[in-house]
Order: sequence, then C-alpha cells, then structure tokens
Amino acid sequence: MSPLRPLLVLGRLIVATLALGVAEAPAVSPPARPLIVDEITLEGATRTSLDVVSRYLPLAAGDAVTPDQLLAAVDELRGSDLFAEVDFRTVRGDERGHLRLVLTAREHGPDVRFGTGFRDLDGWYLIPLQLRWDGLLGRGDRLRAQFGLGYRLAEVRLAFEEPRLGRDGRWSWGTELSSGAIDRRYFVDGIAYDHPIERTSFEAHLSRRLGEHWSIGVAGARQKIHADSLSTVAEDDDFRGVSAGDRIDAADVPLSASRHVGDVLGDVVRLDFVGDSRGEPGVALSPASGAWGRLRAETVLREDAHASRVELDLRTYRRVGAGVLALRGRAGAVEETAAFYDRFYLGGPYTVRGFLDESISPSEGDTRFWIASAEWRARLAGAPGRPRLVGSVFVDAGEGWTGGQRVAADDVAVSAGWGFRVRVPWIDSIGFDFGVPLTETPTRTSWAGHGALGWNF
Amino acid sequence: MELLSAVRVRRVLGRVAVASLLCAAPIASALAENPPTIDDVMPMRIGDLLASAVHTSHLPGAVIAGSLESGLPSAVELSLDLRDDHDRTVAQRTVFYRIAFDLWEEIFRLQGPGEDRTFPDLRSLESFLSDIPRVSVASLDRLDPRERHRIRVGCRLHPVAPRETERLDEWLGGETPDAQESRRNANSASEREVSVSLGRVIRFFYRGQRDDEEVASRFSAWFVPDDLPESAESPGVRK
Repeated sequence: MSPLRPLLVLGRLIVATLALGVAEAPAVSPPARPLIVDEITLEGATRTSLDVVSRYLPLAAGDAVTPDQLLAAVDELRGSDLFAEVDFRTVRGDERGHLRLVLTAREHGPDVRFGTGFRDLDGWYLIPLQLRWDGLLGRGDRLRAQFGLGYRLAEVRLAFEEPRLGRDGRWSWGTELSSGAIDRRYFVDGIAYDHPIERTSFEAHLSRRLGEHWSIGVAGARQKIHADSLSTVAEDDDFRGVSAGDRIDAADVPLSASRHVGDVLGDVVRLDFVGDSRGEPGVALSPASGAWGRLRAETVLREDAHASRVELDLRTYRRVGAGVLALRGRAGAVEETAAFYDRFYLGGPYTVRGFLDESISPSEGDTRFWIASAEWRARLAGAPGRPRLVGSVFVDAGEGWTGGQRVAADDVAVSAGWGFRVRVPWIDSIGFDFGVPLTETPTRTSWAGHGALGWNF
Repeated sequence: MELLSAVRVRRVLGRVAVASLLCAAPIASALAENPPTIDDVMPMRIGDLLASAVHTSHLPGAVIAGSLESGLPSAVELSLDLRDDHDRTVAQRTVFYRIAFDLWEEIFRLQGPGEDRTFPDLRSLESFLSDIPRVSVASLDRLDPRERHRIRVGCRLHPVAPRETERLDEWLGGETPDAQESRRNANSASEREVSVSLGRVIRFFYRGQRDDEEVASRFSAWFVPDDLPESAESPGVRK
C-alpha cells in the first residue's frame, strides 16, 4: 500500500466534511468611488503615538481610498501586531465623499506564551515559558524573555527589538543576550555522539530596508564558548556494543584533537544582504511566485583563531500545475582555521532530508558545502486559497568537503521523499518529511523522518 | 513619577469606561427596544431546488444602521440549516447581504446572491430586509421526498462587512498575528520557532472561535418535500 494512501483518505474525508456547508459571499462589488480621508485619530493607546502608528498603517490623511482599501489598511495594521487589538470606526466628514478614520487600540500588556522550535544543529526544543511585553516603550518595540529546553539544548534568551524606526520606518535594530548549552551531534563509524558546548552571547544588530524588496543588515556579537573535551554516545547500539550516555575518553574523542576544545572568547561581525520578492502564501501554504535570497558574510575573531565565512541562500517559487514548485540552492565556505562549531554540517531537515541530522559531514565539520532542493507542493484538502492539508514531494542533493579535499561527484548525497503540512491556527503549519537516501549513507540507515514547523524553505 | 503615571492611567481608564458606557447605553437601549427578529421561515420549491422565504423585523439593526452612514460596508449574514426528521443537519448554506452607504451619492446599496439594489433611505432598505423573498437551501434531489424536514435560519450582523469569501475563511481558519509571525521567521536558513499566547488559547476555548453571535434565529414548520408549494404559489413570495 502506498504510504500516501492514508493521507489521501484523510484528505478526502476532510473535503467531504467541508463540502457539507457552503458559504456564499455577496457578488463582487463594482469599483467604488474613492473616499477622501480627512483625518486619522487614535484612541485607547496611552504609550503609542499616531506617529508610530503611521509607520504601520499604509494610509494617511488626505488619501483617497475605497472602503476595501481602507479595510485592507486597517488589516495590515492589525497584522503588524503593533497592538493587541485594533478596532476602528469611520465618521462622516463635513463634505460629500469625505470621512474621518478613528482607530481604537488596546496596547499589549505582559504576555505569557509557550511554544516550540527547531534548529538545524541543535534539534527540537520546547519553550515552556516565554514572557513578552511588546510596545512597552510605545515605539513598536518587542521585548522577549524565554527559556528553551530540548534533548540537545537548554538556554535562556532575552531579546529586545525595534522593527520600524526612523521617519520612513525603514530602520530596525535589536539586541539579544543568550546563554545555553547544546549537544553538537556528530557520527563516527555509524555511532551518534553528542558533544557538549556552552555558549553565552551578547549581540546587537541594525538593518535598513532598501526599496521594496531589498534590505541590508549588520550585526556584532561577543561570545564566550566552552567546548567540552568529552563526548557521550547519543543512542544505544547493541551491534557496536555501546549504550546511550557512555562517555568517551578524551583520547578517543575525535574532536579532542581539535585545538578548539576548552574556553574561548571571541567576537563575531556579520553583514547580511537580503532580497525578497515573494508573494503572499496563496497556494499550498507556500509563496507561488517570486524569490528570496540572502548573502551573509561573517568574520569570527576568537582568541585562538580568526575565520571568515560566506554563505549564499537562494529560493524561488513558481506555479506548476495545481501546485507550487519551490527550488532552493545554498552554498557556503569558511576558512580552514574555523573551529568545528563554526563549520558546516550536512544531513537533516534543512539540508539533505533522507539522511540523519549532521550524519553526512565528518565529526570536524566541512569548510565548503553546497545543497540544492526541488520540492513540489500541492493542496490535498481545504479551500484552494487556504488549504488545511498540503502534500509535497522533494529531491535534495548536497555535498560538503574541507578545503584541501578533492571534490568528487561520487560524494554527492542525494535523497528523495514526500511530506505533508497541516495548517494549524496560531502557528501557521506543522508537518513531517520522510526521505529515502539514494546514495550511500554513513549511518547505513534506509530512511529518515523529520518533523517540521512550516516549510523548510 | 510612577505614582503620577499610575494616577493618569487610572484617570484615562475611568474616562474610557465612562465614555464607553455613554456610547454603549443608547445603542444597547435601541437594541433592547427593537432587537432584530426572524418572524417567519417559509420553505418552498423552485424547480429542483428547496428554497425559503425569510420574514424579519428590525433588520439591519441599530448597530449597523448607526455605522452605515460612516461610509463603510456592513453585512447581514443568514445561516440556513436544513434538518431531517432526526434533527440532523443535512445541508447548510450561508448568505451574506452586503450593505453600504454611498457617501458621494448618499444612497444605500445592497448586494447579495442575485441582488444588487439601491435604496434612497434606511426605511426602504429595512422594508426590503423584512421580506427576503427566496434563498435557495439545497437541491431537492438530495432529500428523501417523503421524510419530514425543517429549516433553521440564524442571523448574524457584521458592522463591517467581509470583503470576499476568504475573509470568512480567515475567521474559520484562525489566521492570527502569531501565524503571520511564524511565517516571517521562516526566512532563517536553518531554524524555526513558534509560540502561542496562553491568554489567546484560554480565550479560544472559553469563548469559541467566532466572536460574533447570532442575534436571532427561527425554525420553519416541519414539511415534506413532496408537499411543498412551488414558489409562485407560495405565500412567502413577494409579488
């Protein structure tokens, strides 16, 4: 039986359920004559001024708008999350065709949240507690403190951000203080090891939007890193005679050969150049047009070594048939002097999905890599514009190596598979990707499954 | 300073509360005096279709009437549930009547399934809504012609009308700023994080997903499809 069959049956059931009820909206209205907005006023906000609101509301006094454009403008303000709630009313103006817009806002108070996250190199983690106080200073600011806990990660983070600054609202800045411990995973002879790394970091970043699609950002961070000299076996392996939690002697830890084990203090300077012309997610919960790209250049200045790193990430989306074809290419290079925790690791949901996390790269990591993915996404159930269940098929390929190593076509890791995403209120979508390696795997596994929050690219 | 601001906040909150009460009082009183009602639901046959006439009073209601002249569209939503002999829903239909006041022409405009009318004043609009002639409910082919059925009509008011069907879907789908933020942070090459407000979750389970509640509802009398009159002969049809 095809593994997709239960999903198709489930999809048909949902479609049948939805088909029971049909909602009919009024006929599309003829183009309305624009109304003139005489004045915009704000009520209910004690910290946030109308000047700040104007950076989020695409509407100004004197503008001519149709009622639908006015509603869309207020929707955009709501969607920006500047306020906890935005209500509005219009008041007839003094002249025919004129009106005044009155916004009534409720500002954010302290908010207790919970959630989850995934990082390619750190795995899944829960956020049992997140405290937010957005708009505390009345400048559209965001303040977050959170605690994350996972199998391979424990951390606390405090972040502050002002996303729209300046007269034109195109500047943003933020700062973040974080401290935590992660277990970096690597494989040797098919055995998974976790290597503890403690990291404390203070970062500040500044960015500016350039035109409609481009932005540039710079960031600086001071980091203190402690890489342990011992690793532990991550999973039981009766065949090889090891058990989860077994500690490996310092002499046998591949990473101990690295001179980067121990305490190290360093600074990181980063430059990002981002282009984004993607449309709204209108098909299969995915953008159906446009592209996204980021060029990142980074220099790590540590006590024991300096290393520069550059990474390019490109994604493009096109309607193909009833779905969307999403393509991604990523490539990166870092100097050979980089510590193992600053290098690249391939394998897992964000690189080559038919392989276990970080299983393709050697324990010391790669200093060069490229990956390419093609994924076709299509609706399985729900309304065409807002599906509830979406399926995908994908092919991933990638290769990593160190600078001096010869690149061979035989070393390219390739996998193919399928996945699904279910739209979930509040958190976009969750799902699962199931990949089968088409080339030899270092771990001798025949498949790999990965949970997912939204699309991986 | 803190004390000062606390006093100021309290004073502002007090003023907002008093203003809200002052504003809400006349509306509440108007609604209490003349709340919208559904007076009659009259099933009929139009060829192969089951339809219903709906007679109402005091629509579009004080809240919509109060906001209409500000220039924004409002909507009256009618939900029609067809129930079988065991009171199970066998078909559903939701109909929106979008109402707007044209600030240039100073006339009311109503749009709905098969309807696009203008009214010179509120009274003529109310007159139209008091006697909604025929709203199709389901195909008669799908029904047991000898089984008893009845139709339940519920009415909701939207002071600002949904623009397109996707707005309706948005309400049902639960699109929120949380989901939008989740999509924004999807730009990261290798990490993803989502979080949900505990207060939002509690409100969701406490209040349900839809904020708007029915202002009126009514059942038709039981009927057997084979015995239904054709629309032309039905007493529910406006001549």
